[in-house]
Amino acid sequence: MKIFAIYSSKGGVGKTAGAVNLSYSAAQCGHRVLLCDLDAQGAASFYFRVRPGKKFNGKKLLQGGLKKFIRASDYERLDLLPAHFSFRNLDLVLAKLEEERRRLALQKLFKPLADEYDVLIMDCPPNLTLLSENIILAADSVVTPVIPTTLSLVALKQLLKLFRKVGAKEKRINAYFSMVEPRKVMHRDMIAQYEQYAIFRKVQIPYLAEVEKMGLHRQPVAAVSPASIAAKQYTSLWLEIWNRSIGG
Amino acid sequence: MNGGQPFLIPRQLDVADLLASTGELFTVQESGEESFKGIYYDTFDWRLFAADLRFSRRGRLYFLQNRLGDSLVEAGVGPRRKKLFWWDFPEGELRNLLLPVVEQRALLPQFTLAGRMRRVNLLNKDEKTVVRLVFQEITGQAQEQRFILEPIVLVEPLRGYEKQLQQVRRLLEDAGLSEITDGYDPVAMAQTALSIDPRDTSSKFSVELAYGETVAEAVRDICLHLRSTMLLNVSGTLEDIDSEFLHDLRVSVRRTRSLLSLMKKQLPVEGVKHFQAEFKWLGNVTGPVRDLDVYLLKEQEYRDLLPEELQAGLTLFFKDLSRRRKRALKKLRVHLRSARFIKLLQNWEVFLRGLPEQPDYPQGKRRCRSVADAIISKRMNRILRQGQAITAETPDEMLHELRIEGKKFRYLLEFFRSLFERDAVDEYLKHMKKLQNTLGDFNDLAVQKDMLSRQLQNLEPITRTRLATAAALGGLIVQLHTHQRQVRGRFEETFNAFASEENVQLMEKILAGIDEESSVEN
Repeated sequence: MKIFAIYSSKGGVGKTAGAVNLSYSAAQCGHRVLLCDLDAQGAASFYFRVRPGKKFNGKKLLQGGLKKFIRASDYERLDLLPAHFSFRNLDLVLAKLEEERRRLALQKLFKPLADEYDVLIMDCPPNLTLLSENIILAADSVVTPVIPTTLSLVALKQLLKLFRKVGAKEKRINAYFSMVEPRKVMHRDMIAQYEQYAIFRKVQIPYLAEVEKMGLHRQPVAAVSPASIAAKQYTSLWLEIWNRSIGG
Repeated sequence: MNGGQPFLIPRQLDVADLLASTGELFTVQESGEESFKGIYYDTFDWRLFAADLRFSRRGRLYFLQNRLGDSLVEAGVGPRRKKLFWWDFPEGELRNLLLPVVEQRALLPQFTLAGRMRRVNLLNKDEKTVVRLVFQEITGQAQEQRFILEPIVLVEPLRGYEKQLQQVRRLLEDAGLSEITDGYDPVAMAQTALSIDPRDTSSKFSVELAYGETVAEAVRDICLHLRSTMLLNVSGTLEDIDSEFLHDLRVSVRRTRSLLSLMKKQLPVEGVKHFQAEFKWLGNVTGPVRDLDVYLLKEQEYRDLLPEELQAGLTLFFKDLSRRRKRALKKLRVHLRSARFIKLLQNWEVFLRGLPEQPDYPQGKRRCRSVADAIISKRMNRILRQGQAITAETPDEMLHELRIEGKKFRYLLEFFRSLFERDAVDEYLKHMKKLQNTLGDFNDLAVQKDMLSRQLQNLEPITRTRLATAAALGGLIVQLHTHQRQVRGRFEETFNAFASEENVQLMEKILAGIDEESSVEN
């Protein structure tokens, strides 16, 4: 099982859109996928129309046995661990654990799922906390969307700093340009300046109305319009990230 | 035909009404229809079915599934023929799974199933699918016969929505649908619709005798059963579907002759004499094709015995065998269509049915069980005596004789198995089989060696290709000879295991005991 974290310390960069659509693409490619919605806002869960069970909360999640909280999505091979409002306290719960256990808590949590899923994708909340460290330690690959703007690049630099802090290898970062608007001079300039860096993937996700409309349809873009540009770009992005993660 | 829980839909039930009633709890969303059509294959004696395997072709692809429809191997390609053998499929897992079950039997299209699947999603108030329903209507066809299977609905659960699943199950049960708890098997349903009982075509010998049956009644029951096995295999032999038809036909002739000889003192001599002669004739006229089949089935085995440089020489040899088989089959067909054969089976039936009432036939009135006891112990002692007399210096002929005695003895136990404690008899037969296999191998190798030597002597005039054949045959004879000596070397050990104190006691226990099932009835 390969674990992917869709992460950025900045909000509104297209994380959830990325997590939902990459999960769908992965499942379409034949992988058995579990999407973990770790963001207390539960946007990914909302897109899949999944509500958490009543007895489910962040503390229970960390106590293990998360299998019984998993819900099937409407799509073949794609399951979801729905978010819960109490996830906002995940940091506090983690802080109570001993130092040793704390940093690897998520990794340990996901271990029993290895037989059931080929791919685990985490949709992460936008912050820089203990949870973020856990996510980085648990993931085989940290996928980070970057809008070609100054602020977004600041978030990327923060991520690199965090990687150094926890001693993770930068090679595990997969950055991609998100919500790209080619008519904007700044977007073009930023991309030209940074795209040659090794952490950036080739495929870019343009700013598209289809992606914006996901909230209306409550479905992955490719499920609504499989032939759309957005659907094709997400699938290409998934394949690029996947092939890199298996060393291809 | 996948992970869902199957429910039978009563014929009078309207699916639209059913869906309307689910509408109170869920939103009903149609999610498409698809149709499928598959031709289901099995051997004449339903070997795949008995092994819980279902084999079908859809378009170009062949599917091997278990009885619940789970695929056991990736779908594979194969020829589109009316008759298939395992060797018609490319090397791979599909073929490897078929081979040990079907062996030399042909796979024949048994029936076609065509179905329509209608998929319906049940959604909660967030319009999230919580349960999927798949309605299936299947119709079937076997030759000219059409049939309809009872419609079903598969309830497919979605992880995390167990409560909703229970609601749907209750709803279906309230509407009169019943769950098929041991799984949905359309092949078994099709068999029921066509009144097919796979046991009817099984070549395994099994006759139920009543405990109090007289000798005449038992002979009648056993021989009528063997006679119907003969009849069952005639058309497959004539059509030359696979080599097993003729083999099973011959085995039932051999069993019949064996019974007549084992029981000769218990039968009316004059009445039986004619049939003994006629069954001997039947054994003789069916022999040549079978002999050739034995070699033709060994083609690959023979090739594997030889180094590569000698293998090419076998091609001509097997080509010649095939040609001879064609001629022999033509003759066999004439015999099996002859008035002599048809009359034999007709008269045999009349004779058997009248046997218990034959006048001047007091032996026939004896209780079969006590007669069987006597014959079995006499035969067992004879085998033990003959076997113990065999040493390393004993000529091969003695082993052949012991083999024939053993075979008769095995038939004897099988004929009367239902009069004794069955498990004990089966246990004894299992031990016997080891001895019989050794003796059988020894004999087969001797016969093969002789046949190959004769072939070798008849290779004239000597041409280049015949030279290659001669080299290949020579190589084979050496191999078979070595193998035969090895088998002979194992004989003593195998026989001692068979003649062990334990086995003798087991037989004594069998003969002393009474058959529990029958004694309750009587």
